[in-house]
Amino acid sequence: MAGSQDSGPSPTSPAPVLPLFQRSWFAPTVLLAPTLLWLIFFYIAPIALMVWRGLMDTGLQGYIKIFSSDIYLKVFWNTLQISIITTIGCLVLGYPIAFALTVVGRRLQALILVLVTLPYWLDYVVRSYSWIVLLGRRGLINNILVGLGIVDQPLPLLFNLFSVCVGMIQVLLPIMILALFGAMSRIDRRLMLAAEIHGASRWRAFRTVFFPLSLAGVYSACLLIFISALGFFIVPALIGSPRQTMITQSILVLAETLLNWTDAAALSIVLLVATMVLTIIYDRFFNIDRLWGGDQR
Amino acid sequence: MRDRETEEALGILRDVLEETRGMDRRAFLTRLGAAAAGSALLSTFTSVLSSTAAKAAEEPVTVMGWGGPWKDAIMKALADPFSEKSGIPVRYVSPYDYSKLLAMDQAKQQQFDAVEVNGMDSTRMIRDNLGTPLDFSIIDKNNLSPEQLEYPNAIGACSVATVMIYSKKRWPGDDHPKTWADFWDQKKYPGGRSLQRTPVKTLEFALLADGVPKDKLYPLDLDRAFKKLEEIKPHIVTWFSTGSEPQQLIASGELEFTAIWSTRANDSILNQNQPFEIIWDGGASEGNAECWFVCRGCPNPTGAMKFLNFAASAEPQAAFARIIFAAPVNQKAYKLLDKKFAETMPSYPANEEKMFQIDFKYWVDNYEAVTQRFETWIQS
Amino acid sequence: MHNVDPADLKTAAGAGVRLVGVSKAFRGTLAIDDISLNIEPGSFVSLLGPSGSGKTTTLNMIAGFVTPDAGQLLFDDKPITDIPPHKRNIGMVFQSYALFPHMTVFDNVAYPLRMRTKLRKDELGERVREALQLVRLSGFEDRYPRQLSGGQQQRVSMARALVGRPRLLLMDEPLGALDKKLRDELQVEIKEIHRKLGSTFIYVTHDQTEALTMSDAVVVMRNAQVAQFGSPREVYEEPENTFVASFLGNANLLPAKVVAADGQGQTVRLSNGAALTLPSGGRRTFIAGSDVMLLLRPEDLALAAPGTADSATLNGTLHEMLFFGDSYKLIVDIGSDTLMLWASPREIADLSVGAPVRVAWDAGRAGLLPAGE
Repeated sequence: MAGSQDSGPSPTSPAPVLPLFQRSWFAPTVLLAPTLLWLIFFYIAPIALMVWRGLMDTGLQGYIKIFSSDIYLKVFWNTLQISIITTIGCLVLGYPIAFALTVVGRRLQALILVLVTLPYWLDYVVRSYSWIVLLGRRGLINNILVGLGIVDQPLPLLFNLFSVCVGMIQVLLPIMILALFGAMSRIDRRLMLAAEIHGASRWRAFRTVFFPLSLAGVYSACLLIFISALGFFIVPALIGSPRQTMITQSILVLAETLLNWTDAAALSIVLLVATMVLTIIYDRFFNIDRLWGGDQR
Repeated sequence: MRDRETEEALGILRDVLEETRGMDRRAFLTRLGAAAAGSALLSTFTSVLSSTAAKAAEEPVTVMGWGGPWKDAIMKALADPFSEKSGIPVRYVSPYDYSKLLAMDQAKQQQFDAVEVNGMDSTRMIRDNLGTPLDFSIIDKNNLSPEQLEYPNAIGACSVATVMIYSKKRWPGDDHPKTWADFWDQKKYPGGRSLQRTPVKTLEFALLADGVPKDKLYPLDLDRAFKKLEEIKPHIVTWFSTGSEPQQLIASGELEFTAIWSTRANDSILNQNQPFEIIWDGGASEGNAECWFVCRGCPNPTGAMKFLNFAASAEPQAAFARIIFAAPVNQKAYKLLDKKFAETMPSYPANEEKMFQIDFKYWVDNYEAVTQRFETWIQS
Repeated sequence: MHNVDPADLKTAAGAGVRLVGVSKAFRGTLAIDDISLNIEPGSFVSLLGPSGSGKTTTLNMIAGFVTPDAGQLLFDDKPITDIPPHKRNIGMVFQSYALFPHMTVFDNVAYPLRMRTKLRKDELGERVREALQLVRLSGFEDRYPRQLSGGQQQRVSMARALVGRPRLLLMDEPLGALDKKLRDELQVEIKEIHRKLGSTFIYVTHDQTEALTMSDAVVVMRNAQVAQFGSPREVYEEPENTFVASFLGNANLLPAKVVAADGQGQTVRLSNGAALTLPSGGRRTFIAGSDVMLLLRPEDLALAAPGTADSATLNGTLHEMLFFGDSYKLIVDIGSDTLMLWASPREIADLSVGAPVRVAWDAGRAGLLPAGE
């Protein structure tokens, strides 16, 4: 008997009836169930309800209003523009730091990681105010520039697109660095050695091997940052001007002070759909799992 | 009709107010903390003797209001002394979100018992009848002042205003800006200025600057107000949306003068010793409109009534003013305040008469349309 | 399939590599301790040793990935210590293959040519196809590394290393990740490629058989130093110390003391009291009184008829007898020590454990090594 079992099931023998917990679908389903239920009850259901009620009560009125009013189109454009600039800024600043993290020694790496994540302990509001101290008309940077005679008048650094992007980049940069670092750590360093020994200078090895291999991580990290940026409201409210009003700020005003829940819901749904569409497009071209450190395809 | 415990708690507050009369905020808080600690010991002792079980079983009162320093002040001046003696715990919910209150009422699932809402929302609450009639068998009218009962189903909580302050460092002499017309005058008074990002009060200031007398403001001449606002738009450093912004910005020198909430202005001047001066002339007073309500259909109306009975009394209102500089509506509270301190309060008669009263009825009817217009204008 | 003319691929000549007093420490621990080596142009040299012996560091230093703390590195008598890896004109095969996952097989193999030459597109293609043909992977140009088996990936890696006709080829345990059958197959192919190319090959391995079968010379490394450098036969047959003797193949090492040494030979006494005389002509002579180790390779030992009297014999009892199919492994207890030897089933006849046996060898096959290593 033992011998026949070792040789595996013969083609004619019926498939063995496995105990419930050994079936392939069982473990994932059981493990995911709490999360799924939580998501359905506290996330998907309320949103579905909100959309449904909105459509029932007021039809497409909210959506029509949003897409026909200049002010919301401007807010969409602001949000898109700020999010794109923030993403690019984070990438440009974060990529070299993330790359440096992969080449330095362990102790320096730990130190940089602590420094990178340190601002996270600070409140958004405090961080935004510190920009006022730096960028204001009487701020540190302008005082130095005027003091040195480089400029006659203080530069308008605060309460504009520049300061909003600077503030948002500061908040999101750690996430960008950590996401890129995670992706870069998975690149086999020996590939760089292989490139160098076969004739590539450090720079060419980086350009032809490391950089292309890091792109998947770059796309993932950028998506993450872009989507996070779409939902910002404290930073643009504190160190931006009304010209940089972002979607979430408008949603808050509509929902909390104007009590216009129809428009607020419509605006939220537009933001949500835009985010989902982006994510789906991304997933079609790249493997979304990479964001969470899944296997490279 | 007060029980012994309430009387005791009020007594402690009264003692602290008297002892620290004329002293600054810090001295008041220190003394209040010490008194609270002392009375806690005392109450533990007495509660062992009296019915501990009954007190432990008291249903909590859920209160919604502003967060941050406001919450701290509510807890110290109102909620903690109340809970200490009555045994009724106060669950304070922040941030302030009127839409939540409204949504819960619409869903017939009101979770907030007592709320303190601003002038605009209290006008809305009255319009939509979201409050519940007050039970004056629990709330003792004798301890209130008539100003607190101006609105139906509501008790006046505190009085705040939006005023102009200027930096005395910039204008040490008598040639400082004195009116909204001066605020608008970029040539005569160059410098950084800031207004709140809301049409409420801001349009009124524009009209005052344009020469409209303060008793002829409403209904607002919107076209005239926006036209006047257009003049000053390029000179506005920032349109603030939180109370701390103008406070920080004028302290750091980004602003020379600004519109600011009276509470924040007094915090800068009295607590942080900043060289600013308040211009009461043309200030926007919320009058007695910021009120306490007991919400319709709330889980613990009796507890909420008891809480209001305590919170609206003179002593907590005075203590609250000492901590966060929100003026008492209960005029009896002024007896517990030093004259110099009283003179900094927006509900102090000499100040109040210089300001205009915001017409919240006008605003509740026109808020959304005017806000849309204001936002469209401000964002372009 | 047309054949590649080896002459097309033959490099000018292999490079000579010389290490002079080279040292390297990592965090205070010596990875290479004052090593000097002279690797002949065109030879196939293996760096052999247990892990941590310094062989990979030595290879990485030749590649230029590691800078020596002291000493000099010369290619064809030109110092190259300060020349970065990409200018050393070396080909390298990594244990992990280190193929570029985002490039096709063609692009992987073309990589060194694109970096080092300005070949026209058709020339480049021709060279890549030649290299792939040499490693028997023609037709795989458009595949990606992940679509290949381990053995195929290693062939691509070899093609990439040799496509630029480097005068020096480094291989870091290239077959370490492959199964035995594939390893044996590729060993032959690598050896063939070496013959065709004429480049110098430096091959790191911890597999002694691999080192012995493939190399012209073997560098046996131990504790950051060279334990012995010589031809495979030299290091196997004439180990300079007990480490080399026991690391390469099986060795019976018996502690002994030299009691007499003269022109006739050396007489040693084993711990069990037996005296043996070794004829002169051995590569080492010791003065009387030296502590030594007597080396007897199992394959040199045989069971002798009980009656024979010879100096090259030892008496003992059969301690253990293990059947290996074609032969028996015998452990003989000679009192103080044991000897291991092989015997054919025929020789065993009716022997059983505990029986007295006599172990004999050709007197010239015993060696003496310094003790204490």
